[in-house]
Formats: sequence, structure tokens, C-alpha cells
Amino acid sequence: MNDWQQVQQLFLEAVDLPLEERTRFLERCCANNPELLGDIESLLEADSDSGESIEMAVQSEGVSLLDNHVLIGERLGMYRIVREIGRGGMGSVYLALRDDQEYHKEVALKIVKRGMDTAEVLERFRYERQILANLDHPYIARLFDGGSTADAVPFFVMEYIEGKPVSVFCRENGLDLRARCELFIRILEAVAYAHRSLVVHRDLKPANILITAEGTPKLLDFGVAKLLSGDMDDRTLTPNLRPFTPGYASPEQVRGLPITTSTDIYSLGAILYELLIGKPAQPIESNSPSEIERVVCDTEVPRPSLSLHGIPSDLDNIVLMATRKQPDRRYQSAVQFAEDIRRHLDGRPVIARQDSLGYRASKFILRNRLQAAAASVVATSLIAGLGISLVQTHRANAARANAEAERQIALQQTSRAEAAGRSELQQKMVADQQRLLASAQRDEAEQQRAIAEQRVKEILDLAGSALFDVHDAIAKLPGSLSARRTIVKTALQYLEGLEKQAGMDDSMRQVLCAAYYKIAMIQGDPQGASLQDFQSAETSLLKGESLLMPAYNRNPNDATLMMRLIETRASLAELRYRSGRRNEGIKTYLDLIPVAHRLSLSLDKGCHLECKTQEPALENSLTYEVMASDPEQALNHANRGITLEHTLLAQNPNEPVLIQGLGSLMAGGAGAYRMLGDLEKAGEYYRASIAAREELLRKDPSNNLVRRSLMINYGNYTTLLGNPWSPNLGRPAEARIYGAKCVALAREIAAADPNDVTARHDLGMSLNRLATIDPGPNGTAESLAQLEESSSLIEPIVKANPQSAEPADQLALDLEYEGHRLESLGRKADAEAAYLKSMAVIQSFMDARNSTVLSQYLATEQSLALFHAVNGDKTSALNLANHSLSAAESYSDQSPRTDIQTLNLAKAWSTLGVVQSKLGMAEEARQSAVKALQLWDEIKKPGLLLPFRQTVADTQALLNSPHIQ
Amino acid sequence: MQASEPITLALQGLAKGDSSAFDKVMPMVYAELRNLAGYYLRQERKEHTLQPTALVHEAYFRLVGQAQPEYQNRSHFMGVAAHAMRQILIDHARTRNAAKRGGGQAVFSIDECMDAPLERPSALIQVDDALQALEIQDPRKAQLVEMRFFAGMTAEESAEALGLPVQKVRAELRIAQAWLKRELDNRNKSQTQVENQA
Repeated sequence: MNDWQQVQQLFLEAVDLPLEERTRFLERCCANNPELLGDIESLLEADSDSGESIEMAVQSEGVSLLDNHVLIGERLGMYRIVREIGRGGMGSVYLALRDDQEYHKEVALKIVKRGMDTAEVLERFRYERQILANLDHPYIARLFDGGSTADAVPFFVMEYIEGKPVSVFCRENGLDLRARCELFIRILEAVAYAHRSLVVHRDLKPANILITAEGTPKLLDFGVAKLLSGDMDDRTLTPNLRPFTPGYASPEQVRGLPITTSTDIYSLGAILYELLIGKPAQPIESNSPSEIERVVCDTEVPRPSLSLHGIPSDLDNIVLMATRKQPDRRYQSAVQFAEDIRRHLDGRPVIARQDSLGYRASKFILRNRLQAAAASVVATSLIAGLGISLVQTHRANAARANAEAERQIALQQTSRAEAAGRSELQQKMVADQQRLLASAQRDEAEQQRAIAEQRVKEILDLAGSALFDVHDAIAKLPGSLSARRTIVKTALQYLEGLEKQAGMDDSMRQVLCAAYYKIAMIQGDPQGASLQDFQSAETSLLKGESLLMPAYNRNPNDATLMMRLIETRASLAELRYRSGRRNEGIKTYLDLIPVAHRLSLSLDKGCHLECKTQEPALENSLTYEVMASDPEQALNHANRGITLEHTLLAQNPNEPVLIQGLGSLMAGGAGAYRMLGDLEKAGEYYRASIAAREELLRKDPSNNLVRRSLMINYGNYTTLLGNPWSPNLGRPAEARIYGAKCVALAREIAAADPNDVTARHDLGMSLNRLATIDPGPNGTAESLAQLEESSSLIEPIVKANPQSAEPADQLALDLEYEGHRLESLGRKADAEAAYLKSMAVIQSFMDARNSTVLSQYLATEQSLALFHAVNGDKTSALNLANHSLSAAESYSDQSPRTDIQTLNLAKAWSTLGVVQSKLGMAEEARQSAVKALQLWDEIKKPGLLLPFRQTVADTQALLNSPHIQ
Repeated sequence: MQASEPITLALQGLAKGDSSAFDKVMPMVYAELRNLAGYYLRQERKEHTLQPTALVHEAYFRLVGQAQPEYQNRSHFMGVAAHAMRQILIDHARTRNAAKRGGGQAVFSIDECMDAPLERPSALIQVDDALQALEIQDPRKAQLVEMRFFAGMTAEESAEALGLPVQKVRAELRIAQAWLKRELDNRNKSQTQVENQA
């Protein structure tokens, strides 16, 4: 070990010497001590950049302490962070490796920047993760995983995309126009998918659209995306969390207006422009807000062909249509955008070209293609008007309060002046003047308030009906779901704002209740097209109810308030009933009857027929709701409703609303009688219902609702008259007449709209009702053809709805009867195949709770057992008959058995008996018959037995058969 | 500023050579630096990267304030702060290193974490190790290095704080830096040899 002091000394002497001198100096000093020489030489060598490495180490540790760089090299769960690949305001994206035993896969890992983990940022981060989790598309970077670090900073793991921004990709690969368009269509597919999933990206730009080496586009960065249906409210975000990229931003983004899917269309238009000519569509010179607003909002995107010759005018028009400043005049969807480019590529005329003919043409298009964005803009602008009125009300209220305060002060001053006895005239006059002025101000403010409140009501009314018009107009259009949800969400926000305002009077409560009712019907009309969000609908109805009740309680005989209450509560009742809370729903209806009765007696001038029809309408609803559980009660409700309708009809003859109500009540009564086993009475009621509806349809042949109701009437009456699979009157000839009427109407309806699935299903059902009547001596072949047509209509519906038992059951019935008809025609192999198929179709739906499916399955199985017995296949026949019996038993093991379960058992024993008898097993057949007859006797509702009169007779015959001794 | 009273007193004690004063100042400075680091963590800083030395300066203003014009006190404060900063950074580096080795496993994990391959310790840990070696051989040089690199103190400030001539400080720092560089290079060489043998 060298002397440290000596080393230091020599080092300091040598360090500043020129190199040659230094060498000589050291040789001289350390001539006899090579160790010392080495020590000093190494120190001198280290002097060259001394300090730098320490400084670096401190720095990098400091950076690591104060920044996310710390992550590089670390592991998070099974991911090892490799390097930073992107960085935003609140988080960074790293390339990471998943290196567990199974995978060694590159992924992108996004994590909130340390220190940025405020509640708001974390919420936004989770929101992005939620959005990604809902998106699963080959052209969108996938979410794999998520988690949080040891100190609870969340991260998520996405597909790592090695690719180039679409603009760079096109340039570097020298793609021609066509290839660029094809690529762009695929990008549109991804965006269309996101829109269908209710996600608006909001920051589409070439840098966020990477193209892989294979040419696959991948959408990235949903960091500012918006879920149209989500709870995340943009207004809660600070402005720097909803940024946009000026070069691709739409006017509505720059202006802070509502964002819809149209916003993405605009950005895509700007991207297409850039892909076509290689220059940005809206070059921004400086980042000043005024410059951005000037370029984005006021400068039209130029025709691409002006910059690059050879761009076809179709593409010009397509770009210009996508980048229109008004959102409602752009392509209404990414799908439409893509279709138009496709049309251009196929040499067909594009929509964008038609529109350029002029504004009138665009009006025409709008009328015919009124879609998502257009509607939501209309709705939101109306609602925005509402917001302005609210502000006015608020200001007027504040002004009134202010004026009142001033007046009080003036009054105090006057009285103080008087009390002080200082009767100086001047002072009192000043105070008086102040008081008068304040009074005037107060009066004026009062007036302003009244005007503003009136305006709120008007706009609310208008917005309410406009919302409905808009909603109905777009409801049937594909892709309008998000816009409809936006409408609801926006409307609710404004209604909530409105409630918070003071000065809620009764008429205001009534209007608000009506508005909530309308929104509820968009959310989840129990009887019509809606967003199917029944839970939210119920919430809205309850909200409306709670707003209404104080007004109603003050004025329980006000016709308008009663009407509101009935409207709201009846929908609540229906929603409850349909969501499985049957008793609650029924009770809600029952409680409304007295209100409706009071309303019918109202002498209010504004109370027209509408006030009188509420009561029978409620009776009608109740008829159908209690039908299954209590047909007797259903009949009572029906009859009460019928009496009311008759009374009203006597006063208002031929009134369609009343006839319609009567038709429905009559059909309900018929159904109740049928269930109670009084088939003659049921027939009488069906005929009355048919008569009412035939009359209505004569008066208004365009009314498809009535047409369908009548068609259903015909079908049910047919079944009552002569469908052997149901309690029937045994009048096949008459049944065939009504069955034919039913099919004719169903054909009309189906022909009107070949895409209407319900109509095709209805036609299939109608054909089935007609064809399953006993076909008579020469009708077998025709019946078979009808059944085949029916099953060809139903089968695609079964395939499209693999979870749904109802169409499968219908198809099984078709096939069973095809089997019967084929058997009659001697086509044994086909008959067997039809039976087998019938069973296969519903086998997966076999469930003790679904008695319809069970009965159908057993019926077919028994038919097949008899088929085998007749054709001498003893084993198959007995196997099937026994299986049918054990199946019936296993589904009716609880006690007491329902009639349907008893019926299934009885039929199974009867069938077994008949099979045994045909196979010569006389004693077994007799025992089976005894069992069956005991069971038949147990059935309480005589109506249920009617379709099986033949089976019962056959069973009895087994006992009396001469074969059996 | 009332809060500055105790620290001012302690710093004065430090200037008078009261060694127990160091133990009074150190926790205050340490806590303030940690607070500051946390505070900067929560700020959104785009381009500008905060340096540990800047943090030390900021801590001085916050704890002592401009009301304290005595140059000497400031130097003493900085000397303490340098040590505190070193401590903070080393704590951080060691925690980080432990996490890499599976010591502080991430909360989220579907499968068990595999042990990471042997990693080089953070550069600062190596610096610290070397600095500790220097402390044994020549504590004052180690302190000068600490002041220079962890608090960004100039030679004049260090001279003030330690009551040394500036020339002496410059010479000692130069030796210390060379010594540390050599030490670090040697450590790196041996580390590489270990890995090659493995």
C-alpha cells in the first residue's frame, strides 16, 4: 500500500504537466517503485473526465426519482419494460416483453406518469381501458391485460404494433391511388366498428393509424376517446384532458361543441386528403387559438385535385363531403363513407357527387338518409336552447332577489331616518327614491322571470316532441343507436339542470313529468321500439312521478295531472310486469283504475275522449297480464272493459279508438274463455273481435297494426276451430276458411317488407295453422306443401336465434305434421326423417319449465313410436314409447302436478298402450290404458281434454278390445 | 418566518462547530427534500427535467428563506442537504434495485413472477459504494464529493462550509474525482468478469 499523502502530492504535481514532461517526472519520482507509478498513472488516467460519471449517476437517479424513466428495466407483473415508445400529457407507453414461460411476446404497456396519478387522470385512464376492453377488432390495437404497480399506479397492456403511420406507409411503399383508397376503406371499417361500439375516437390522425409490414391497419390511442353511452362526462374533464390535434380537428371540437361520430368522419376526411396528395388538409401556421379557429372552422378544405392533377373528381367530392363544416352534412357514418369510396372504385356514381349538384339535392338526401349525426345535432341544438332559457331564468331570479334586497335596504333607511327624528326632507326623499327604484327593479325582474319561465316551458315542450320526432325518424336506421343514446343522455342532463332551478310551479312539474315520460319511452318503451334499457326507463318514470306527485296531491282532480299520472304509472306497471315483477305490475295497474275512473268523470273542458278511454285501456292491460295466472279474473277485466267501450260507443258511434279498444278486449276475453275451457264462448268473442277489426281495416286499409291484429285473430280462431294440437271445436271445414284468411293477410304484410323478420315469422305461423287442420280427403299434398313453406320460413329464424325456444318449437310443430302428412302419403322414410328432425330441433330446449317445448317433443316422439309400431319395428317403437313415458314422468315429479304435466303423462301412457296393442302385447296394453284413463280423469280443465278426444277414445277402446281378455 | 427559527439556530450551531447541530438539521432537510420531490412528481413537467441539485436549492429557500443573509449558514445548510440528498437518492436506488430482483413484486400478477436475471446495480449505488470506500480512506474528500455532486456546491461554498482554502478544496476534489473514477472502472471490470464466469 502506497502512502496516500505521497500519492496525492505526486498526482497534483503531475496532473497539470504536459504529457511528455509528466512521463519524465513520474519516471524520475517512482524509479524504484513501479507500484507507486502504476497507482499514480491510473489516477491520472482517471482524471481525464473526472466528475462526469458521478454527475451522470446522480442525474439519472434524480430523473428516476422524479420521473417515469425509473420503469425501464423493471418488471410489472410478467412484463419487463424495455423502452419508452410514446409519451403523452398524463402517461407514457413503453415497449415491454411478456417473458413468462409460455410467451416471449412484445407488448405495449401504458402507465400513468408518476405524480400524475390524480383522481381525474386515473379515472380517465380507467375509462380508456374500459373502452379498449370493449373493442375487439383486427384493425384496432387490442387490450391484453391490466394491473397496477406496487404503489398502486394502474397500467394496461396492449398489442404492440410495429408499423408506420399510414401517411408514411403510403409514401414509402409508393401505393397508387387505388391501393390508398383500399387501405383507407379498411381504416374506415375499424372506425365503423368503434362507432358501432359507441366509441368516438376524437383524435384520429396518421400517427394514430399505424400500418404493419403486412399492410394491416391498426388504430391506436383511444386516450381521448369518448364512450357515447358511458357515465364519463366530458364536462368533468379539465380542458387539457380533452385535447385535439389541430391539423385533423373538426370545427365542433375547436368550438367545444358536442362530439358525435361525425367528428371522426371529419378527421378521416382530412386524413384521406393527406393520403391522396401528400399534404395536410388544414395546415396550421401557429398554435394560437385564433389561427386554429380560422383554419378549422372558417377555411374550407380545398379540392384535392387543385394540388395534384389526376385526382378524380369523385374523390374530390368524397373528401369535401367528409370535411364539411356542419357535422350533419358530412357522411352520416363511416360505413357510408366507405361505401362511397367503394362505389368510386367500382366506377359507380358516388353520393358525394349527387350532393354537389346543390343544396336542394342535399336536402333530398338528408330527408331520405336522415341519420345519426343529423338527428343528434337537431336534438342537441334544441336542448341547448333550453339551457339558454335556464340561464335567463336563473339571472331573472337573481335580479329579482337583488332588487328585493335593495328595496329592503331603502325601506330600512327611510324608517331609520324617521326614527332618528331627523326629518330632513332631503334625506327622506333620497331614501324614498331608492325604495321606488328598487320596487321598479323588482317588478321588472319579476316580469323577466315570468317570461323566461314561460320560454323554458315552450322549449321543453318543443324539445320533447322534437326529440321524439327525431328519435322515431332515426330509430329504424342502422347505426343510429349511439345517436339515440346521445339524445337521451343530453336530454336527461338538461332536465336534471332544470330541476335544480328554483321556482318550480305545478305546471312546470307537469311539463317535466311529461318530458321524463317521453325519455323513458325512448329508453325502454315496453311495447315498442326503444333502446331496450328498461331499467333506465323505470328510473326516468319514477323521477317524473316524484316530480309530479306534489302537484297531483295539491290538485287531484286536475285532468292534465291525472292524465300524466296514469301515463307514467301505467308504463311503470308494464315495465314491472315485464321484468318479472308480475304482482307488483298488476297492483300498479289496479291502483290506477280509480284514478282513471275519476278522470272519465272529469268535467274539464280540455278533457275529450282521451279522458274516457283510460279506464277501459287499463282493464285491457290487466286482462292480458292476469291471463296466465288467473283466467277468470282476466275475463272479469275484459268484460268490464267491454262494457265501458260499449257505453262510450253508444255516445260516439263508429269512433275508431273505441272500436280498436273493443277488438282488443274481445280477443282477450276469448283467450280467457279458451283457457277456462268454454270454447263456444271463446269462439263468440273471437268473432266479435274479428268483426271490430275487419271494420277498422275497411275504414283505414293502411293501418298495418290493425292488419296484423286481425291476422292474429284469424289464426287464433282457426286454432280454436280445428287445430288438433290445441283444445278445439272440431270444425275443420270452418277452420280452413279462417286459416286461409289468416295466410292471405300474413302474405300481404310479408310482401310489403321482405326484410321484416316478424312478418316472415307470422307467415310461417299462419301457414302452420292452416296446414295442421285435418286436411280432409284430398288436402294432404297441399297441406304438406304449406308445411314445407312454413318450415322454410321459420328455419332461418331458428338458425339466427339459436338461444330462442319459441321459433324452434314452431319449427318442430311444422316438422311433426310434415311427418304425419308424409306418413299419409306413404313416404315412410321421409316421414321418419321429419319426426327425427322435429325432435332434434327442440331437444336442446327441453326444460321442465317450458311445458310447450316438452309437450311438443313428447308429441313427436310418440308419433314416431306409433310410426314404428305400425311399421313393425317393435324395438324402436317400445323404446320410444317408454322413453316418452319416462321423460314425461321426470318432468312431472313434483306434486301436485299441473294439468299440462298430467296431460303429458296420460298421453305417454296412452301411446304406450296403443303401441303395445299394435305389437300384440295385450295385457301390457290394458294396464297402460288403465293408467292413462286414471290420468285423463285427473285433468281439471275439461277444455284441455278436447284435442285428445280421439286419444282418450283409442285408450278406452284398448280396454274393450276383443284381443284383451 | 417562524419556521426558519429552529433551523437557523441549528445552522449557527453548525457554523460554530457544534457537531450535534448536524443531527438537528439533517432530519428537517431530509423531510423537506422528500416533500419537494413528491411535489415535483405531481407537477406536469414536459421538457424541463428537475435536477437533484435544484431541489436542494429550492429546499434552502423554503426552509431558511431569504431572510437569512449569512452566507456561511447557507453553505452549512448545503453541506447537510448534500448528505440528505445522497441519502434520498440512494434509498430510491436501493428500493428500485430490490424491486427488480423480485423483492418488491408488482401487486398485479396472474402467474408467479420469475426471478429476473442478475442485474447490474444502479450506477448511483456503485458510486455510493465507491464513495463509502473513499470515506474510509479520506472522509473529507468524500464529503467534498458529496457537496459537489449532490448539492451542486461550488468550491467556494464548500470551502466556506468546511473552513478550508478554496485552492485546497479544488485540489482535493480533483484527487477525489480521479480516485472515484478509477475505483468505479475497477468495479465495473470485476463485475464483468463475474458475469463472464457465470
